[in-house]
Parts: sequence; C-alpha cells; structure tokens
Amino acid sequence: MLALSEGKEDAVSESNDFVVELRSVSKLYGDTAAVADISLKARRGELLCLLGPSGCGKTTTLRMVAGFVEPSSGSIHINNIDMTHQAPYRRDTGMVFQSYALFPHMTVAGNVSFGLENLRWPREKRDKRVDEMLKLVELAHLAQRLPSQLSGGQQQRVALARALAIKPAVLLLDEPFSNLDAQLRVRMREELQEVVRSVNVTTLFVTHDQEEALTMSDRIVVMNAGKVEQIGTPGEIYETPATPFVAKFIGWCSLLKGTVDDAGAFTSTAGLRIMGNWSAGPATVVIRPEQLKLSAGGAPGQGQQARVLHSQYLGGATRVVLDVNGEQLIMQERFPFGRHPQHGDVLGITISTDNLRLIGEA
Amino acid sequence: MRVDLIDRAMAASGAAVRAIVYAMLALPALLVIVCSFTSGDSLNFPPTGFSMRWYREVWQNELFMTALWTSTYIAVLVSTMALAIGFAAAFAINRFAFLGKGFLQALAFSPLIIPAVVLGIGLLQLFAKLNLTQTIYPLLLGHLVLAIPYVMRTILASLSLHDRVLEEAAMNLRASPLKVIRRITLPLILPGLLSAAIFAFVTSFGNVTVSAFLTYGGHVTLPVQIFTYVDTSYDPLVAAVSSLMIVITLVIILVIERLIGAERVV
Amino acid sequence: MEEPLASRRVLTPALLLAPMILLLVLFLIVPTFGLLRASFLSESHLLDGSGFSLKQYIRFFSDSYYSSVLFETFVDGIIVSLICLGIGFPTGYSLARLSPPARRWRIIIVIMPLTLSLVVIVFGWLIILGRNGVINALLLSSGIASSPKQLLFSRPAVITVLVQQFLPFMILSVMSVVTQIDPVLEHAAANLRANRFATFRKVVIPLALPGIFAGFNLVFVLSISAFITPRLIGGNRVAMLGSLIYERIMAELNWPSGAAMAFILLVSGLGVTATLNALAASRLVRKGGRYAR
Ligand SMILES: Nc1ncnc2c1ncn2[C@@H]1O[C@H](COP(=O)(O)OP(=O)(O)OP(=O)(O)O)[C@@H](O)[C@H]1O
Ligand SMILES: [Mg+2]
Repeated sequence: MLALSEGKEDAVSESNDFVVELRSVSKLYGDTAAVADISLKARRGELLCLLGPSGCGKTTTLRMVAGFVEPSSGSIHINNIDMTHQAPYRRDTGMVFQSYALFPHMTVAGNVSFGLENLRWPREKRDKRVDEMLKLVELAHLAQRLPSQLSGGQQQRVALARALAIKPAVLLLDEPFSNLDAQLRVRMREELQEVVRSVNVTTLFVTHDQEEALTMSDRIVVMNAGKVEQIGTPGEIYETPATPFVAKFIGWCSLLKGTVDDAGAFTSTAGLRIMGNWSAGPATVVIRPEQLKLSAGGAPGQGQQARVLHSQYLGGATRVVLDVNGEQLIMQERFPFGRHPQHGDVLGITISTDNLRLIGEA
Repeated sequence: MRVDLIDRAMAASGAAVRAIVYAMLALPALLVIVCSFTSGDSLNFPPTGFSMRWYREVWQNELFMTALWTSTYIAVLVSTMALAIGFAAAFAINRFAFLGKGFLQALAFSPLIIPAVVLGIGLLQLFAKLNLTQTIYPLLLGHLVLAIPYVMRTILASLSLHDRVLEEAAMNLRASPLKVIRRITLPLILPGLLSAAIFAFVTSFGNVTVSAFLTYGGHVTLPVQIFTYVDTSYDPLVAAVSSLMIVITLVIILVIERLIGAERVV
Repeated sequence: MEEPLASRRVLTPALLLAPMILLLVLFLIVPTFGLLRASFLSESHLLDGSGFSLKQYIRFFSDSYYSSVLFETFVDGIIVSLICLGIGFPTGYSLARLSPPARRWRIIIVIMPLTLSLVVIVFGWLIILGRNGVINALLLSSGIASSPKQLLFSRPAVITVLVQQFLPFMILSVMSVVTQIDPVLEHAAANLRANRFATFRKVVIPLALPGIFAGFNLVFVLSISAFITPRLIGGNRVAMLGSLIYERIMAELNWPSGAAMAFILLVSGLGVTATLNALAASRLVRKGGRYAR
C-alpha cells in the first residue's frame, strides 16, 4: 500500500497546476470557529481527501468551496480565479451530496441532463452526454426510472453521473458512502475511484473513515477542530504522523510520552526505555501494533516482560492490550489455536525500532 | 455573494411581498384595538383622545354581555364534547384494524369542505322541522360538527407520534390495558388533547358563518351579535367588544403555541 | 398480551366510533340531503312539502341576473385565489425555510386571522376602509384627496378583504409542502448551474404543486361561499352568491330557492375540487413522461 501510494504521488507531484486553492479560510458561527484558518491546494487530477473526526469542519470546508457557505475570512480560488463571493451556480464545481439529493420528480436521465440544460447545451449534445455518463456508471438501462425506484448504490451512481456530466473543474464528495452498507461501500469505493480516474477530474473528498481515506486518496488532509493537522500522502500520514492527533486518528497505535536522553534513547514517563539515536528533548513515541512482536514464541523471560490486560479475538488475529513497564501498548498478533492469551498472562515481546516514529514536542 | 440580476430582483420582491403580507395580516386586529380606546362618540381614525369609556359601556351593555356569556358556555360545552367524541374515534382509528378506515377519515374531515352556508341552512331546516329552533341545540350541534375535523386531526397526529414501545414496556411491567391508557398513553398525549380542546373552543367561540343561521330564540353568540350590530351601524362599542375577542384569541394561540409549538398549530 | 374475544375486537372500535359517526350523519349528512330535497320543491316560501320539480334550478339558470352573480362569484373566487397564491407562495416558502425562533412570531401573525372571528376581521377592515377610516385619513392629511373617498361597497374592497381572510390557508399549505422538500435539493440545483429563478421553476414549484393546488382549492371554495364579507364590505352593490343565499333564506324565507342556490354553490365547489385534483394527477403523470425520451 505504501509503495502504491508513493507511485501515485509521483504521477502528480511535478505539476504545480492547482485547481482548487484555499487561502487562510475561516468560518465563524457566532463565536465558534467551524473552520479556522485553513490553507490547502489541490493539484490537477488529484484525489484529495479531507479526513477528521465528526464536527471538525470537513463539510463546512467543502460547502465553502461549492459556495453554499460564505467564508468569514480568507479566499477560495478555482482555476486561479477568486471565487470567494461568487454564487454557487457560477462556480465550476460538481457535487455529490451525502443524501445524493436526486430530484424526485425527474427521471435518472432528467437528473443527469439538468445541469446541461442550465448550461444551455443543445438538445442532441445533451442527450449524447447523458447517454455517455449513464454508460460510464453502467446505468444506461435505468435511464427512465425515477430515483425512488433505484437502490442506494444506483442512486449514488446517478448522483456521480449528474455531477460529472457538466464537466466540473473539481468534483466534491461529502461522505458519499455513508448511506451504504459495509459491502456495497467497498465496491462503490472502487467504482468511484475507477470513474474518477477515467475522467481525470480533480476531486475533493470528505470522510471520517480512515480506511476510505488511506485506500482512495492521492493525498490526505487530516483535520481536527477546524484546523489542518497534516497534509500528505497516505504513506506519509501513516508512517510519519506530524502530531499525536494524526497518529492516534490513523490506525491503532500507542502513544508514549517521555524524554530522549543524551545517549539518544527514549524513556517514557512510566519508565519504559526504547533504544535509538534520536535528538535529546521531550518527545512522544508512536508505536503501531505491528511493531510489537512476540519474542521466541512469546515465552516469558525473553525480551520485554508484558502482562496481558485484556485481549480481543478478531478472527484473523488477536488484539492484545499489554502492560509493559507501566505503559499500555497495543499489539496485534496471530496466536495458535487454543493459546489465546488470557488476562494476567505474561508474554515476552520485542519492540521493533525500525520505522518507529518519534514526534518531538514543540 | 455575487448573484444574477434576476435573483436579486426575486429576493427584493420577495422581501417586499412578505412585508406587505405580514402588515396586511396584522393590521385589522391592531387597528381595532387602537380605535377601541377612543374617547369620542364615533369611530374615527386617528382616534380622538384616550379612554376606557367604551369598555365600560360594553360591561354595561346587556346584549353584548349576554352574547359573550352564551358564546363562552357553548364553546366550553363544545370543546368538552368534541374532545370526548374525537378522542374515542381517533383512538379507534389509530389502534384498531377495520374496513373503511379511509372512508371514516374522509367523513371526519368533510365538515371542512361543505360550505358554511350549506351546513347552516341545512341545520336550520332540520331543527325547524323538529321544532327545536328556540333551543340551544342547533348552535351546540352545529359547532360540534365544525369542531370535529380540527379535534380529530390534532389527536390523530399526537397518537401517531406517540411511541407505542412505551406502552409495551408498561405492559411488560404488568400494567393492565386500562392502566396503560390511564398512566402512559393519556399523560403522554395530554398536550395534544389539550390543544384539541382549545381548537374546538376557538372554532365555536369565533364562528359566525354557521351561527348566523342558527340564532333564533334568545341564544345569540357574540360574533353573531357583532355581525347584526355592524350590519346596521358601527361605533366604538363594537371596537371594544372586538378587542376583547382579539385578546382572548391571542391568549389562546399563545397557550397552544406553548403546548405543541406553533409549527403544528394548523 | 392476551387476545380479547374476536367479538370484542369488532365491538370496541364500533362503540368508540359510534358517537362521531352518529353526530356527522345526523347533523351533517341528513341536513345536507334535507336541503337537497327542499331545493326540488316548486312552491316558494315553503319549508316542507311534497312533489318534485326542477323549477328552482330552471329559474336560476334562466334569469340573467343570477347567472351573472354566479359568474362574478366565480371570477372573484379565481381572482382571490390567484392573489393569495401570488403573495402567499413567497411567504409560505420563506416560513418553511426560516429557523424555528424566527418562524415563531410570524406563524402567530399568520394563524391569528384564522382563529379570530371573521366578523372582527371584517370590522377591522371597516375601520381601514370606512369614510372616516385609516386610508381616508392618510389621503386627506397628505393632500392627495380633498374629500373622503368611498372605498367601501366596491368589488376591489371585497376582494382585498377576502384575500386577507383566506391568505393564511394558502401560506400554511405552501409552508407545509415546502417543509417536506429537502433544502439540499436546492443546493444540488445551484451546484448544477441553476440560478434561484431556474431552481424555483424547475425544482421547488414542481415539488410544491400539491400544496399549491390544495391551497388554491381551499381559498377558492371559501371565497365563493363567503357571505359575511360581501354583505358588510360590499353592501348592496356587490352581489355574491353567498350573500344572495343568506338574503333569500333569512330575509325572504324563500327556502326552496335558497336551497337550490346553496346546492349550486356546493356542486361548483366540489366541481372545482375534482377538476384541480384531476389536473394535479395528470400533471404528475405528464411530469414523469416529460423526461422520458
Ligand atoms: N449552520 C451552522 N450553524 C452553527 N454551527 C454550525 C453550522 N454548521 C456547522 N456548524 C458547526 O461547525 C462545526 C463543523 O461542522 P461540519 O459540519 O463542517 O463538521 P464535519 O466535519 O462535516 O462533521 P461530520 O463528520 O459529523 O459530518 C461543528 O461543530 C458544527 O456544530
Ligand atoms: Mg459532515
């Protein structure tokens, strides 16, 4: 996955051709800032994902780009034109809404052709484009249905076709899969990725699902409480989180606070030592579950002594919360059948220091 | 936000229309109240001076005071009876499965689509044949018929919003069916029942279009009294009586608003 | 729960429904049919009688005075409904889109004329339009007019007052249907390059049509059967069917004639309702077909 995302990164990193640009954009509701001083740029053809917990301002950001919310300060540029105060219908965006927002009184074809009618496309061209879009999302046979006669996944695809039909400079998606069941979600994710790649449209994608963000995006914007925490490729975000928040939000991990001494070794506040050659000072260490390994079959006496606090059987593996020198660490490991660790068991583990991420305190 | 010219025109004309609409809706009642405080002998605008003179006159006017009393006590009777009849019917429609439910609901709402003149004349004719025009029954039953749709709608709405799981929980805790209705259902839909009763009250209290045909014999309601009075002459006395009606109505609206929220009033 | 006896399951709802059914049958349906019967009596000034004749109806439709009153009543009804639609739609739409606190006092203003007795409202208009009323006071003090104008007893006055009375019905029925339209649809339309005007024309109004028809229908039926307003505001100069019926029954005691007119009114109202319903239904069908290429 890491290799793949770095490969994707290469394809677009040369271009400094920015389709969407937010410059210090803020949105205040009364005294509270839904979005506080966000700056970001989306390159042409890039799939940029806004990721963050509920209420962190993702939807607000996206709606400011679409023009449904006017920023309190800052500016928004689409294709290098200042669009901050432009009406939504004068912006070159196509949006897929969370609830799809298909017009219930128009057929599938009517929905897709709606934007083209507003752009005053001539009838034949319009019909051709509608046809083409419906073929793209494989719904040509349902053109005359009403939205109420479609399944959730089909509605989703109509919404996508409708947004892409007008050839927007930027495609905006607000949690487009949240109304679908788990299996359909995975399939639609792939389909969306395929369609978006085939038309090569710049895409801003909002989600609070880290798996969705990691698998789909070229780059991820991690947001927290209205601010940007980190912008980077999925690999960068996962492997080198810039802040404890990012580390904690992306994937399971244990965060240890402590200090690095002059010898370059880290000592946590509870006294767990990890060898390394980091620069001295207060720091936080990020330990991913896969960086904990059982030493020599996990027999006690080998490596670090770890007491099992509780364990959770996941099927393919077991997630174990361990007490190591007074610190709680999470490990994920496949145990042989019948050797499932119990509360109170003592295991021997090693902490792999390759790729161990240390976040220096500011 | 930079928007098209036609949008700006729409926004401006929309705002203007709304201002006119709210002014137009509020103005008649407001002016009645303003003019009721005149100290002059006739209805003028602007009113000459300020006094409570005409309110005193209403208080001493037997015609209006009797009519106010008649209206009030018919409205109270109507609201209690409409509540009982409406709750029984709404409960049956909400809780039981039977044929012709749609027809019954249509019947319950039909007083809304029958013109008032038709109902008024029809009832007058019926009670004339029964030789009961001199009694209170024509007004009482006429108002009751008019109140049914409002009462049914309010109670049906609160019954359908009411969470049946709570009743199941009560039954699970060994409450008998009657106890469930008394301890769970009724308390929970009480706001709906109260506003239904109040609706019935205002429907009866303010009605003139049906009442105008049914006020033979000493039973004249206040709106009909105002109608016949204004038909021949109008003076500040009517303004004072009308102001009383406005205040009573406004208080009732505010009470309903508190009970079930303005959204659901109509 | 233990199932009660089958007979109880039939008996209980029947007992609960009986009072309402009895009330409406005896005091709504019976009187309506009694009136229908009376309209087929030939003699005038008769409450009861035998025989069957179409005399009252024939007289009504052969007399040009009556047909002109019927026609004008219809025209007034249409004008009132159209004005209510024109000014009630923007108001109802904005009410539906307002936040609850902002909506509160506005709703109270809208509901007030509905709950308030009709005579009180009409009386308020007498104060506004009367010889010594508000408008004349304004006209005189501003120097536009030198002597009080006769504003009452005219058709425009009657129409104005009817509009104010019935406007709340239109506002509320538009509001209730617009509340059902997800505002996200309007955002979607804007995102698809439709300006506000196009959004209204192509999305909001088509979806609000049921509410528009319902409001129009209600206002029309109420307007054509009005009699208090035409009588007090229009006086003798403005004849509408409702006031004619009131006159016929209460002043002349001519029952068969009044009954026939009341029935013509009832049937006209029901006819318009049926037409509007059919129109709404066919429009929905056509809508579906319009996008069928
Ligand atoms: N119209 C509004 N008025 C007041 N506050 C608002 C408004 N819209 C959003 N907010 C606030 O702004 C913050 C950000 O909201 P936003 O909808 O952008 O979050 P989000 O990241 O999309 O969350 P979610 O994942 O739950 O959709 C929230 O705290 C929210 O309460
Ligand atoms: Mg959101």
